Amino acid sequence: MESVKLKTLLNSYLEGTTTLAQESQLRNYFAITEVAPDLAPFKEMFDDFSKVEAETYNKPVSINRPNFWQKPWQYGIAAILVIGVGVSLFMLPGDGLSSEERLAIKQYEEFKTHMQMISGELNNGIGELAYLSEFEKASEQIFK
Amino acid sequence: MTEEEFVIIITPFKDKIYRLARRILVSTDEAEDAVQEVLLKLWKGRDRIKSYKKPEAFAMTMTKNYCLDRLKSKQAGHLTIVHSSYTASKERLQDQIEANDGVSIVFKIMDTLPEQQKLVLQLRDVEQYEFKEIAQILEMNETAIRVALSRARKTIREELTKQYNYGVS
Repeated sequence: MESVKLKTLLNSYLEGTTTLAQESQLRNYFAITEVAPDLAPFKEMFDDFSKVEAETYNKPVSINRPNFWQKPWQYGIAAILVIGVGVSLFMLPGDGLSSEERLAIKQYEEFKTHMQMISGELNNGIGELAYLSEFEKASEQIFK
Repeated sequence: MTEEEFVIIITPFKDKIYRLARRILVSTDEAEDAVQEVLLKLWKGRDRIKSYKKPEAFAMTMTKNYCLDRLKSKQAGHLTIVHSSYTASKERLQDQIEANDGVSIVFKIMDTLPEQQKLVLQLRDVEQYEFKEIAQILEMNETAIRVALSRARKTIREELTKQYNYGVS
């Protein structure tokens, strides 16, 4: 490239009026040419600008990153289930009695039936006594 | 849209997103996080992505906005942890190392430019976008972009010339 043309190109480059094509022309020129010291800053600029294109993002693109708040409704349902299970476990025994208390009630019921049997027998005995007192009354009347 | 289709759409410009993020946030780690975030956002809005004329420009705008937001909160973070200077100085040291690591002098100068000029220069001279596209990405008009670009290029040239002269004398 002739130096006059280069100068005008560089001037318009500094003014920000070059096109992309002209800029790549400059880039190519500085990439292969040794330049005079006064143009060295330009060479450095263009060289560095091209070097940076080697900077790449090499990490794999992972978009399914586990995100706790991604689906809040699922956590809502989970929370309700946990609370529900907890509450029902607390409520299920119903009478709220421990096994000891239940054993005591069973024994009390058995004791009650036994006592009823005994009282039945006693009532029979009282019935018999009524006959006996009738018999006594009658014998008193006879042997007066 | 399946994951494969999505990857095909974003593959051509994911490096550009990364470089833009890197330019704004400086740290490679932060830039990688930012890319991940932007891709995730794009994936969430994947139903709309096809209706955009240029998903690339849209993604770049998104990256720019996201990174600038990050930068703001990062600076705010630096301010709040000034008293517990262990973390603060450690972070800055790391930033410095990363900034020096493999980044050429031109980019060091670029980091000192105002945000807008830095972005314009990145998009034009590194990524070689048309002015129209840059206008779309940065949501600015073309004249303003040309002015910013011209200033950025001149500043870099002046700084480099200064450095060369120091070297000589």
